[in-house]
Amino acid sequence: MNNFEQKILNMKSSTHPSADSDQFLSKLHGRIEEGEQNQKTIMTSCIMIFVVGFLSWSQLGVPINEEIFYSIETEDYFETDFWTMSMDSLEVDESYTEDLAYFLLDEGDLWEAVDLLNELEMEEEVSL
Amino acid sequence: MQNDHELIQDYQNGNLSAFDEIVRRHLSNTIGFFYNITRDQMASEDLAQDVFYKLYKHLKKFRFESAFTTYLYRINMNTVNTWLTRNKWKNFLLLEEAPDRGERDTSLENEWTRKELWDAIAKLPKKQRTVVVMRIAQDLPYKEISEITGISVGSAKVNYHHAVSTLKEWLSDE
Repeated sequence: MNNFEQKILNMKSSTHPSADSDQFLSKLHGRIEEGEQNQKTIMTSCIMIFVVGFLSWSQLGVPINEEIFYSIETEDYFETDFWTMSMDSLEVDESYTEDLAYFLLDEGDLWEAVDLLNELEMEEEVSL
Repeated sequence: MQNDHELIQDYQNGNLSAFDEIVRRHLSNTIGFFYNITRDQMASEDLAQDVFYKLYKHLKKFRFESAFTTYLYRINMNTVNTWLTRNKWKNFLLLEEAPDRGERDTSLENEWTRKELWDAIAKLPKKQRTVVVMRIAQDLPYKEISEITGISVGSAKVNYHHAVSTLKEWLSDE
């Protein structure tokens, strides 16, 4: 054994620090618990990613059936949006319909005016 | 008093207090091993925590083909290798403080500090590093080193002598 080798072997400490085994164990158990918790979180995340991924993949290439609607007439629904709402539709009262009838008569559309009044009467009957 | 293998058997059968007993039995030796390398009690305890945490996770798969101490030394060595590599990168990136020249051990008339020695050991090839760490930090005989590393006794001796010559060359250059 040469001098250099002896020197590096002598670097070893002759005294070691003593550790409190109970404290060490409680720290270790805390770490184990934390590790298990992390593992559960990772597992749950992986399962979620897999499920979402699988569901997305299963929908790839599926044709979208555009013919199925719950309502055929969509225009009225769109117009009920607050920003597109027609103010006229809120003011349909008796004077408005009278004005409309007079307007049609002025224009010479007699039958149109009769149709309108009939329609209004029909609506009143239905609502009663 | 139960021996290590009996305690492991108990642990594998679900007795968690058997694991605590294993830790108590080997704690001082494990911390001593790391203290010889780091000379820092906190760092030694942290490394020992890593070792026993790995042990907790893998001991259920222990197959009783070797002595428990051999198995434990393997984990110690892997942990030391990781620590040395991490330190090497820290030094490379200059994230760590400059080496403390004050820790020079004048009683041994060393021309180099402990840190310089371990930085040099970190640069050795893995096999040489493993053998030299086990000789320096634990004073293990070549036979035990060969069992831990899975190389022959002759190969362990050759690796050790290569490592020592390389370290001598590197450290005398500085």
